[in-house]
Amino acid sequence: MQIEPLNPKILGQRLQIERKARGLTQQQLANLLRVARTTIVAVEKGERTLQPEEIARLAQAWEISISDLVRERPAVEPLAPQLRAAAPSSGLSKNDVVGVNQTAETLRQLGENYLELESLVGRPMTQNYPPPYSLDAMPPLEAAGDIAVRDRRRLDLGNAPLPHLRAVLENDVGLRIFLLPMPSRLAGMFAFDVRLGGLIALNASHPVERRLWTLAHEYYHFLCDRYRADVYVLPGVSPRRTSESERMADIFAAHFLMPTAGLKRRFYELKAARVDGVMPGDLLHLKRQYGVSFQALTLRLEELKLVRSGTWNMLNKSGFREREAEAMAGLPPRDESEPRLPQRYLELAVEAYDRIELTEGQLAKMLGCDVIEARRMVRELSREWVVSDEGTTGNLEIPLDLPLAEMAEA
Amino acid sequence: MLDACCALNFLASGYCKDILAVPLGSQVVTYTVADLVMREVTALRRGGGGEDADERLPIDWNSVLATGSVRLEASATSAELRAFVSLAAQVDDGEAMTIALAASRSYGIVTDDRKAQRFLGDVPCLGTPDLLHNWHVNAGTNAPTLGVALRAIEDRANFTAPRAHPLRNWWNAALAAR
Repeated sequence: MQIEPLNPKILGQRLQIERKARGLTQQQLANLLRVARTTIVAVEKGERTLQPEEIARLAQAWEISISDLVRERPAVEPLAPQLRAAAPSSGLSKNDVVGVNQTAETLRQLGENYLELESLVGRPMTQNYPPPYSLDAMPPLEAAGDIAVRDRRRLDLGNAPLPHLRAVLENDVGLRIFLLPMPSRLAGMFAFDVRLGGLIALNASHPVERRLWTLAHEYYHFLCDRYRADVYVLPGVSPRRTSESERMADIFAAHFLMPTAGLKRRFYELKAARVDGVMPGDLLHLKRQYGVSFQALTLRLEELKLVRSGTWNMLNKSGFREREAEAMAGLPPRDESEPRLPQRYLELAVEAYDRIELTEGQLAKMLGCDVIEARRMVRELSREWVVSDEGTTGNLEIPLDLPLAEMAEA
Repeated sequence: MLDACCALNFLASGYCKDILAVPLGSQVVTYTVADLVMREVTALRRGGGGEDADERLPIDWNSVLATGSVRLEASATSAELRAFVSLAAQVDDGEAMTIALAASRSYGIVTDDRKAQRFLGDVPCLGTPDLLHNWHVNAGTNAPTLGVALRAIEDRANFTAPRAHPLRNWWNAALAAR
């Protein structure tokens, strides 16, 4: 059996990336491996390689697989420095700071996986990035709303609600969007990498309406200040002074998710159907259409002077609870589930596995699950649901590796 | 050497000891699992049609090893470690160690993984369907029992014989037997 020796350049590059991601100096790494610092320098330059025992010891210390250390794959520079710089300088707990660092590192690893999958399958991401929007001569807070209108027009989105904004941004813009665990005060993050493009992380434990808002908020940062990272921290009990940039991002989110013309039309339709005026129950249905929180919708309606100023405060102080109100109105529970990983990422992973570019274990690692779950996802993503003329549903297993022209007619 | 993906399947069947006890042809076989594999294969799906079907149930490897059907290999020579680290550049750690040990010790390997199979060279290889077929044919396992085992593998490990496998038709026919 012929086994290829390790490529020192690949190992050296990976070692440097992983060392920097952990905030270690070359001396600290040398101490960990009980070698001279000059050895680490030489290894990182690809001039020599580590011994297998040293590689095994390092993988154990860093709690990563040996495959992750030695396998050739695209490298992404650590995102933590830019995200730490973007985090507010005060008001964050120690837990929040740890969360920023952990999320940054997870985002980097997922970004590397994504690039690796694209390379294995030969399908790089198509990016439909506009030049960063400038504010022109408009007052900044008005410009945010104007940018929302212009970008909807660019993407041909009309005035309709956008509950599936994630799919639009992933497929039509070319952003990479992940749901990740974070401390509850962190709503999301945005970072830009030269190879990956725009990356957005949303807090996986937040309600779906909050996640949609955060997504729009981070999208603003991508559109207007692409090369500066953002960490979106919720104001908390004692709201700190919010930067102008963050306020603009929230104004953009409101206008992008609930465009003026479409919202007005829907509101007036509701009003026309009610003799006594629009009721909170009507607004619940409206907020479902837009996928936003009741608070976000009501504040937007106040801004448009469609409801009296202070309506949200009044409802909030009277003990209005959104989920309870939805249940009372007979609305089915909102589906909070959303894939952690982008749909395209999942499909690329399964395709790479089907092309025998990944082992089952590597696939499971890419998908962030165990082998049993990975097998289920392969089966699911390889199938097409069909509906017969009689209306019964079933599934048709389609071979992903067979050209369409060769598929036999049924 | 038994790799992770096959170990999972045999444990899911509920008949692991019986399957692995059947000689291959005239040869009595001792199956070995690398320590790394044991650390990777930790749980099975509960299965069944209930709401808790997706719950994971931990695998008690001590009990498995105590049956004698599988032995554990926790050490590797320097040469095996070198081969393992080099193979890990191509396949995951469990596969890499399994292949390295099999090649070094002139063992065969039990794996379903198509990518891992590319790096076997002359190492003889069998997969899950092969050993189940062996259990059926050479141990005279009756059709209902075989059907139970295969259904358990599909339900608890989400594994089925691959589309292009020579034993695919046999597998499907055996599944249908009650």
